[in-house]
Amino acid sequence: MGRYILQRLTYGLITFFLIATFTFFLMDLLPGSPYQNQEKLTESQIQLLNDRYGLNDPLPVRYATYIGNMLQGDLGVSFRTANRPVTELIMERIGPSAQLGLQALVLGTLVGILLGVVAAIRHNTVIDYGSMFVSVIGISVPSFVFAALLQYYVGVQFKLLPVAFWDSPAHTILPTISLSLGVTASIARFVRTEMLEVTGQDYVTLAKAKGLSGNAIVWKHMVRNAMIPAITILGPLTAALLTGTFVIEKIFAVPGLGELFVTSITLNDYSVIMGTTLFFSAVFILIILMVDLLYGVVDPRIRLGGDN
Amino acid sequence: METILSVRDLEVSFHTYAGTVQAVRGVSFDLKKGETLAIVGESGSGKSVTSKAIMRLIPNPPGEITNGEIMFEGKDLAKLSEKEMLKIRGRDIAMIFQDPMTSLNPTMTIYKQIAEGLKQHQGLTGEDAKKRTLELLTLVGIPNPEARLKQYPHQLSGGMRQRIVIAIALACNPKVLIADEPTTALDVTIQAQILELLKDIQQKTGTAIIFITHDLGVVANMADRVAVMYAGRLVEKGTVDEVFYEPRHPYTWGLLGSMPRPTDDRNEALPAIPGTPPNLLDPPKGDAFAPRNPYAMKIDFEKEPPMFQVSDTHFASSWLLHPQAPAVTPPRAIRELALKYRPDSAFAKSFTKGGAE
Repeated sequence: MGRYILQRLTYGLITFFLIATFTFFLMDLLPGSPYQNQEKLTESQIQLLNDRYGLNDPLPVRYATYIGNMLQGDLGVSFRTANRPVTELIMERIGPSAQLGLQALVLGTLVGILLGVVAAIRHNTVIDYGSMFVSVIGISVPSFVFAALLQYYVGVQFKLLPVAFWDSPAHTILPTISLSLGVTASIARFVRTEMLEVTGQDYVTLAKAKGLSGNAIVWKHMVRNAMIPAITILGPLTAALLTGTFVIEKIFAVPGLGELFVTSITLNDYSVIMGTTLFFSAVFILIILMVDLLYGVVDPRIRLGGDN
Repeated sequence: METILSVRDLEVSFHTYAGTVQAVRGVSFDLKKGETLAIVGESGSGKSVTSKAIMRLIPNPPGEITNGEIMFEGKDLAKLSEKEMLKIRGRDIAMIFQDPMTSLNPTMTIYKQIAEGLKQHQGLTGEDAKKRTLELLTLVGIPNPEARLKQYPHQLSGGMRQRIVIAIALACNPKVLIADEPTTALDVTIQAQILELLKDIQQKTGTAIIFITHDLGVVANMADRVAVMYAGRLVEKGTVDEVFYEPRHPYTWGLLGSMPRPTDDRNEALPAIPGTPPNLLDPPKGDAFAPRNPYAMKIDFEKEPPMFQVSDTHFASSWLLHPQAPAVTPPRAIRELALKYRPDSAFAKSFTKGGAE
């Protein structure tokens, strides 16, 4: 088990390094440079700043310097916000993003399982069709549409919840719901299919033959087995959540990482682009690893290593 | 002996897109305390459906018990509510399934799967449940039971898993045990072990067993009485000796005749029953076996035969038993069996007296 995790972490590091390299060179292709559009700066001032931050060095030199600093935990300083270190900026913004992402993932997964299970139990009834209708909408309509609709109806028309900003738990409700709908929909469809598959299994008949009630059979015997394939999509779903937060944070004016990331691209703030990209990559790599470990928790057959 | 389970005129249908499949068409039998009744027949004859109907495990839809009663301790199981059935399943009537590789939940430990029934029916938890589980594992011959408790099904072999399935069935000392082809998925040496185990358990616990199988060798080894099923009906029932040595129904003759024997001439083809079973979407008029029956008479195609009583315990549903039916000579294999083991029976005399062959 420990060996497996170590191996996966090594692969993760390689992936991480490759992402860093690609992003660095791709970023160089972005039109413009950090200080190009500053109207108040003279030509010589810009030259001075570029020299100061090593922006005039050839690309390979800049790359080597960046990787060297990165290995020491230094992600550079922002070219914009008063020379503040990128790590500090990320730490400052990570709270709302992490909370939003986590809330959306948990809510989406739980509601998705519930919808999927109920649809499967009431197979071919109005409840089944209803929940599948909801999930088709959840998959096909982008989250920012829900965000705008929720803002308008719940926030503006009925004034039930705040329309934007990130001040209290109530403020987190609408962004969380908008972000979680996609997750809910995907999980619901997956779980429903798997539940129907599991219904015909011999061990479900055996559980029935033991005299267990319908609820005990569903929750103790069926759901866990139906969850095994559903876990597979948790990885891609998390990736979708990460990118989804960019949009949702913008719409709800959440002071999170996504907002920082998007702004940094429009402003050519190289070190912030790099820093946030690397941070998202690291989070994603770790989540994929966690999902793979989760398999073993749910399904004893793929528990790894010599704990036989 | 006292009758514990009595099935009368049981009919089970499945509603499919193609139409209604009449899988079981009027089956009646009694199960006595402590005996083993074997139900034999080929695939699709309705033997599994009959056993599932007793447990009320027929999925509805598409399945439905359309007629008949299943009397158990004064209650008609066919008419009990699902809630009342929960108290009977696993406690009074338990079931062993065919394929041990798929009938255990892969995500649950052995202990949990056995203890579940104990908790449900006897309220046993904690140390009590553990003690009883260990007892059960010992009873079904699992070595080192303590170590098995925390294991998962995939860590055990097929034979071991079937023992676990049997332990689950025995958990609450059922009065009736239904074994639905319990050895079909196992290899021959393990088959023998499991059969021995079932016999042993029956002796220790006195439970009555309904043994569903298509393996006549297993029947001879296990059963007290045999019921032969064909196309959703019982065609012959009697004690093992009666059905093996004095069979009266041409279908039983076909089944017994197609069993290889060590004395067979190797150059001769093994006899087989020609044709295929009828489509139960539209069961034939008359005797369902008639189209495959070399002994079929005109009436077989027109009218279904009633159950004729051959002896106190022996019944067969064939027009050949009608007083007006002509005397026929059964196939050679059947004659040889009868002459060897029951030379004095009325059956053996029926074809020796005429001096045939």
